[in-house]
Amino acid sequence: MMKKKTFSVAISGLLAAFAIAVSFLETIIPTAPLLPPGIKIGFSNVAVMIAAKNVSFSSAISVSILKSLFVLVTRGFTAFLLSLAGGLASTAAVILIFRDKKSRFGCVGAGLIGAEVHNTAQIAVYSLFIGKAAFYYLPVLLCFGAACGALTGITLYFTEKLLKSDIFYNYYPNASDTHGKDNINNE
Amino acid sequence: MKTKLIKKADIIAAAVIIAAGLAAFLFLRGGEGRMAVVEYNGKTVKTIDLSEVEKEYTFTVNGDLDVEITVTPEGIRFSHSECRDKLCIKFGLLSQRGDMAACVPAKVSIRITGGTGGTVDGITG
Repeated sequence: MMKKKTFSVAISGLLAAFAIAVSFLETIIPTAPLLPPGIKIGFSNVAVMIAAKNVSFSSAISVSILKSLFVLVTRGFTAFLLSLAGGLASTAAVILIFRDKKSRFGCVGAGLIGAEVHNTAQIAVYSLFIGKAAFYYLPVLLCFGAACGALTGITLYFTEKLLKSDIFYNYYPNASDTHGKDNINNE
Repeated sequence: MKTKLIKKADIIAAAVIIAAGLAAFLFLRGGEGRMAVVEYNGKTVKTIDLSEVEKEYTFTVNGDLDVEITVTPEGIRFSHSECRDKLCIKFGLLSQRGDMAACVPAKVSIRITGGTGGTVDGITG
């Protein structure tokens, strides 16, 4: 049975790889007739939410930062700042929702709020570069963010159903029993 | 930890956000006149009263990158940019109040506000 810490690092790496691959695909798949320019559905947020819920909060933050570092390498510093601001803000929001075990929000709400916080943080950074015009895009982003966020929430729900029956149930619950010594600080 | 697909709070949150988005959208749409404001780095470079445009013309803004903007009687759009993803051009023609487009690498933006009486400032910077 895998050690808990090993599991955490391994699954965080997998989730980060998934997040990077998906966000890259979203940049190359044209969504022109369906979504306004610059708007992506944000499926990579599903990886962050899975990490926050099932691994640890630090895992969720790592996934989000790794994703932004990929943006830095491929799309430059401005895009990196936008990605990091949106990523960290939405990760924080998602963590706050999932930290509360009796949260009033379901998967759809988590996806939705994550998306909206992501968009709003990005608009704030955007306005540092281009000024007031950035806020003119906020209404569009709020409305489309609600739809896109709900979609990521639905994806989270069904992804977890699949994962629960496999990875998380088979490895994670037992991991902490077997190697107590290595089981340090994993939330 | 098991989380339900959707709860009541999710629907309330969605309704509030969409209502806020629509309200903000209608607020930007409201009012008289169509003034296109071109900004570089948050500072106004040029304002154009779109209702007074009779002939199509283009001009260049020397932002962090050079961008070319085309003005027609119907509206205003980014027509050329040296940036990589050309997102600014994909915004297409801006014709209504509340429309905006921006080239972030160049730090140049266009937005359409209300108001009339276009004073054409010189193209700076």
